[in-house]
Amino acid sequence: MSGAGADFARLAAELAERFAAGVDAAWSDFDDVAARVFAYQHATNAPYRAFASGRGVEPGRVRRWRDVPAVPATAFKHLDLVSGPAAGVERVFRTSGTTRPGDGRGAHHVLSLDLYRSAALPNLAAHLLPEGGRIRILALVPGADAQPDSSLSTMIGFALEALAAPGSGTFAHPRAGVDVAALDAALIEADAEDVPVLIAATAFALVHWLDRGDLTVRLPGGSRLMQTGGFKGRSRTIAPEDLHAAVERRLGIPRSRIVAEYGMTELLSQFWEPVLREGPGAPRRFVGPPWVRTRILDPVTLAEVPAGTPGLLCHMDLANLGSVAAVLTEDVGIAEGQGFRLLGRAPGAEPRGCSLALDELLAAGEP
Amino acid sequence: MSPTERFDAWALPPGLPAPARTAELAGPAGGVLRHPALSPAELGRLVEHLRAAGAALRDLPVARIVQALGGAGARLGLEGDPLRGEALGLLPAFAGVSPEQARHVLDGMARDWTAERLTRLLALELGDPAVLDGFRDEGAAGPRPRRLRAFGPELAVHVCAGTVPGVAATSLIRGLLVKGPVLLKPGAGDAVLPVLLARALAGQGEVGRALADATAVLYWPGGSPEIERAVLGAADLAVVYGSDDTVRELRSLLRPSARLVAYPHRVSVAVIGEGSTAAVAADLARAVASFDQRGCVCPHQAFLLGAGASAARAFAGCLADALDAEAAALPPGPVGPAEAAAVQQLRGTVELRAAAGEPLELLAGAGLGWTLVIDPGPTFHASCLSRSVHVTPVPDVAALAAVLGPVRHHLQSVGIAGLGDREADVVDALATLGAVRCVPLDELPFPPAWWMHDGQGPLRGLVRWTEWVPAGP
Repeated sequence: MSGAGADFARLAAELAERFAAGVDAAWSDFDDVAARVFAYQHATNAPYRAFASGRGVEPGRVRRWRDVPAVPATAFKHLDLVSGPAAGVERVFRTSGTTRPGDGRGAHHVLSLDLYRSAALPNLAAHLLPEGGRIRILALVPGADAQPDSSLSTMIGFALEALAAPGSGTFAHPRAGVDVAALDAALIEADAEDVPVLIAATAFALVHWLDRGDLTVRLPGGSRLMQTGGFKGRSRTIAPEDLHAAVERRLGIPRSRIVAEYGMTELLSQFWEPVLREGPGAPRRFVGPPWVRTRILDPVTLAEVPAGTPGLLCHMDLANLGSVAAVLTEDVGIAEGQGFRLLGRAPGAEPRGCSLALDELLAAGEP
Repeated sequence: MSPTERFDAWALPPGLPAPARTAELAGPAGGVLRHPALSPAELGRLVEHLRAAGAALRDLPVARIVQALGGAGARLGLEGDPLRGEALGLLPAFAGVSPEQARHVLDGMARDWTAERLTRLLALELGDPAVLDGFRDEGAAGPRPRRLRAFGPELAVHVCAGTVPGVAATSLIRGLLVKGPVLLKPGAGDAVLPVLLARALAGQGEVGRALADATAVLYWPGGSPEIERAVLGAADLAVVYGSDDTVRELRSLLRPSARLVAYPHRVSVAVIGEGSTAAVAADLARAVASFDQRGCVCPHQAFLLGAGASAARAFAGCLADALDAEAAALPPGPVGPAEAAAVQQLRGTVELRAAAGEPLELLAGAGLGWTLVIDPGPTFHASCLSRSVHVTPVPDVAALAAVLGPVRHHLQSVGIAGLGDREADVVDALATLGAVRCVPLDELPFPPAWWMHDGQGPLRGLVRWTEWVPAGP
């Protein structure tokens, strides 16, 4: 594998330059680039190579991105999936959640934080700050220093470096949660100074602030909220409509300026609601950058479903050059325009009964 | 295409007016559940009615109550009875099971809903069933004999999960057996049987009508805080099936003096001797396939005691054949996308890890019919269901206990086979850990009515005893 480091550096630089061209670039050669990324990963990632060979897929025969074999996201819990020199890993991002006996948390070994930044930042900026410039950012996500294994914290860190106006700050800490008093002060100040803000928060942190504080403020027009994550595994849940209504009531940020983000530790690119780019009339959905393509697969056969049929989301993310680009998730969605909508549990469906549900065993965390 | 089936997911005491407002909800398997949207006033009237009807039950001899309950229950097990026909017609659409599975489940459950089995249950649990009718001598020797009487609750609320049809009906029968009125909320997938049972009670003569008067089966969507607060706040006994979170939330709604019988999540396993045969594999496959593996009694993992890699592979081959046979004999119900997603993650991950050189092997049935993973790693694996099982060789009892230690508080049934003279050691070790039931594999799916349900007799927690030592003149 000598030279693998150089190969990675060269390919990463090429991709980073193209990511920098932004989310409106065409990528008409996506199939070709995907085939090259697959060939690189096949050459440098032994488990992935064996997996692909087991399926009879060789680089020379891959013409389309759809033909690249996808690994399940869960595999990141069990194997170090690195395409390149292991000694070159700059950071390991881990999924959240308790550690179960016998299984680790999902781990994404990242060979290049620069590549991550080059994929994440243009996409984030296009969807949260389409007008360009800088904005006062109030982050309800612990900083990357406090939580170095959180890909979300690192991404917000990129945003703070590149897009933050004076008065920006971080108002959450790994164990203590949201610093309600400090956040309240910052909100009052923004209101008094008539300075619009971008609040970046997980749904859970938002609910924490809503529950523990009682401040109501009408933030200046132009303020916006980035909301990520759900309530998996928590007992305090709130319907999305109720959360958005609370945000409007307590912060003065209307639904049309709430931008949801869908991402995961296993992918270095993110999917955004394009509401600030397209206006509130456009259908709510998640859209990926042009260097990510998503297939929706039949949950039983894993064949691609016709548009309009729900299925499992399977992404080809070129930013994952250093790990595995083709990832089959556990998420269910349905195509909507150029993107997709996430589908949750069917209404009326209840958690499994007297048989143990995997999540509950996770949460039990028995010693 | 057949029209969408609708089912009225309630049975209220016959004397009460029909609900003024109803709502509809898509059930988990294609059918549509209609359920009442009761106002607080209507709920209050229902609660009062049930309490009064329950008081009337106290004067009815328990022997006649057993006859009425057994009479209604037995109909569901009687081939040709229209009640059974109705149940078998509804279960596929509302419990999400194949017609074959519906029949298998109903047969297994209804076996215990007869007067004979219920009489035995009462005797095993309470000694003399007539303690429910009046004070009975305890029968101990001595100058001051004690007399005992057992009382059911003034109002029991049962909150049931929806994944295994029949569990709610059993819960209802137990509740009425101890002469307490029952307000039962079924899970969406298990609404059919308790409703049909309650309706059938009204046809069991005067006692049946009294029981029906003391019964309310009422579906409401999970997470309806106003209803839950009103109903649980009125109860002096709650029986709750569900997750730890569900139990915690509902417990917080009870009065401090109310009792709670909780059945939280449980997991079951199989422990099998090396060199086990195809017959053992068949019994194990049947246990996995029953209830589409959603029951608390269904094994998630099979441990082969003393087996090496090749014995494990040989047994897995037999098990694969047996699971194929079950896929035909007891076809799986429809698999939702979330469950399918989990199976795909499992299969792909094992495939990748095996390709990377780990000593894992994947065997899979057609479609998502079943999934077998031979995994020597000494770890417990909670199944992602859809008939997925890990097969794990373990060298000895100590290793087995070490693997199950982390889940000991959730361990329920252990299906055993082919252990020879090691069986007692295995049972000792697992019982000490926390297993509540060690039985032959073929008994796993359907415990008898008097089983130690999660470690407690099923009726004892429902009654309050009064003891009387007569003072004399």
